[in-house]
Amino acid sequence: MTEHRERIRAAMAKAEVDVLVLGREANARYVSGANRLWLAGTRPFAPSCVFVGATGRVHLLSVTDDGVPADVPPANLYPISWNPMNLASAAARAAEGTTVRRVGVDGMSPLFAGLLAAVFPDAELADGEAVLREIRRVKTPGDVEAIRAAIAVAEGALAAVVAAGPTVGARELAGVFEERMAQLGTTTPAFAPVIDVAGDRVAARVGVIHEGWEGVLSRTWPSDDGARAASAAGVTACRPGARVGDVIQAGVSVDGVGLGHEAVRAEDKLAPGMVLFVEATRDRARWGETVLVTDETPEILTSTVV
Amino acid sequence: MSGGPLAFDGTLDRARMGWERHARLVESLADHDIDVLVLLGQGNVGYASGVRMPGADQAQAIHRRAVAVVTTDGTPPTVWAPEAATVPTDLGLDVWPGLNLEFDDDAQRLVQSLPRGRLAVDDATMPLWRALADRDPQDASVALTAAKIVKTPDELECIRRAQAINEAAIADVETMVAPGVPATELTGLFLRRILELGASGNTVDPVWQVMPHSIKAGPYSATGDVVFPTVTTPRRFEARDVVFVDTGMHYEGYQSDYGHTWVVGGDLEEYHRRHAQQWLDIVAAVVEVTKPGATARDLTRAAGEVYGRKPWLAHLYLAHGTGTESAEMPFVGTDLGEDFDESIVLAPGMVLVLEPVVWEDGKGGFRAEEIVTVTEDGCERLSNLRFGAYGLA
Repeated sequence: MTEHRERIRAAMAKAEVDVLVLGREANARYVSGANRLWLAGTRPFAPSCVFVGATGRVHLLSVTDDGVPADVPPANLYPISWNPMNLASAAARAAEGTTVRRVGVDGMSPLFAGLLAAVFPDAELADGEAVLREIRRVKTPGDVEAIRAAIAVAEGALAAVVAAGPTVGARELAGVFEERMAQLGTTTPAFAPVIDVAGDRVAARVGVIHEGWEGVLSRTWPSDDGARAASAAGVTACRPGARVGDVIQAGVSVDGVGLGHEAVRAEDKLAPGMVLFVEATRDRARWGETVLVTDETPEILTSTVV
Repeated sequence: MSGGPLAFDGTLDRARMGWERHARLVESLADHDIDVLVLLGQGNVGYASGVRMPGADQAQAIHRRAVAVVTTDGTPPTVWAPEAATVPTDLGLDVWPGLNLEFDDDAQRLVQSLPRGRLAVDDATMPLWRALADRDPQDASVALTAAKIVKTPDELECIRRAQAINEAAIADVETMVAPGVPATELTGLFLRRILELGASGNTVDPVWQVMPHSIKAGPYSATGDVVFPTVTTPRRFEARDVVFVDTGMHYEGYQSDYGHTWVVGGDLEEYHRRHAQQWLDIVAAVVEVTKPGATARDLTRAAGEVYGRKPWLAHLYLAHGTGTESAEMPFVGTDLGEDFDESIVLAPGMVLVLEPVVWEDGKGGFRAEEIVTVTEDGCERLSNLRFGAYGLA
């Protein structure tokens, strides 16, 4: 966590952002390390985590310190409020005593634009999501270990799907995946399992969120119609200096993997420490690997399972 | 075998639901002098257009979202729908490929496509916020709330079905609650059963919180009140644990919200039954005054009078609405205060999730959730809580 915060502070200094006011859970988790209640879907922007560059202080929306790391003391917690002004004021309190000229935010609404302007009267808004996207993209060794642990859960739960076989139906196989995932101690899926059953063949893309981190893979069995080989071509293209678009050219889709899904674009250049989900689809078959970009050969973090 | 999806008695006309929601929304936009409404929140997109994305963790849901644009000129909404979206075919939607509003070019593409006029937005990424700067965007929440707060009969049927699936899954889960069982095993069965029964996924990590006997014995509380909810861990239940249950999932984009209290091992003390009875008494008192024309303040007053003090948690509420969001207007008893509660006037078709909390510091408490909808002359239940374990009706 300390390492995450040091990286963010450096990036904030470079982007001349004094305070980050964050609404997105993945950003809040990256900054704070807190494990708050998981909710599916989108949520409108609201200040739920505040990070002050000058002091390194984290303030967090939470009614309790349960799930909150010890370096975010209870005095820095603020409870949920139905009056949005209270949330804007909590952001201002976190930054008390520091000069705030630019506030980095990861979303905005007309309501909060007005309220933040009231509590930070001398500040302009900046794109905090862009700052965090760049930082989060390159993983620390600890991040990679966390992703490996998440993948292990996803693979363990997928093994139960393989064992259940095609006769129970796609909806039931999705249920088998989520049940086994929870039995392995992880209660939050990364997305609703994408499962297709055609005769005796099953194609599945599955993912979990384990301690915040995504573990994702896709497999088709017993035969994969060349999807696996196509995916391997994409994996091989994951070299430092290559662009995401070069990997896509190999006939695959590419997504960023980290604290949940990460956005990547064709022009983004790969660098060691980036983790990508590279998936090929052929007809109704799919095969996808989670890949760590290294200085040399890319490391496939997922294993075969099927 | 799973037994397949749950069957329902009530009728649901999805096309009619879509037309009626759109008509309500357009009327509200006209009332609020809004010509163009841009929606990014997936609950709002679903309400306005019927377009839904599969359930996903927030990060993926943000990056792969459908966007809807609603105008007051009588045309159906325009939607920008990613491949995985479910798009209704009978609403005349103008459908375009999905946008990635995390980046400037797609944000500008969206804004360039928008008709002229006074514009409102529910939420924005920073690239969209920048692209909208010249349009002086208004906050959409008031106009959205005015439409969404009263449900059509089809919307009520969706909530009823969502709740029925939740309750059916819970009935199975409850049979496995025993000393030594890890809480995450309950989650596993719950998640499997809701998918088998026809839900499109859970919307909140299921909560099975073992409550302390006193606030002081529990985790740190920023409000000084009972801490709830906390995140489920693989911790094993012990006999006589008092467990606050809270689960949510959606069906056709509509939310369910199940709450109850279980005593592990079923060996009940007199005070466990007393707490449950007190909770039933509070709900009965609130239900008694829930009718068109009553204010949220009437509900908090009724609850306070029967219990002697506020029977809800300081950071939450006595009741909240539900629909395409798990908690939406009307809110009852929040920190917005009594004047705000006084301003909320109930009308037929509104939905309230009543969630009072009984707490006896030193002995723990009781929490459950009952869902009602306001009718022409009172209210009726959309949920069906059971109290057999407490020997109560």
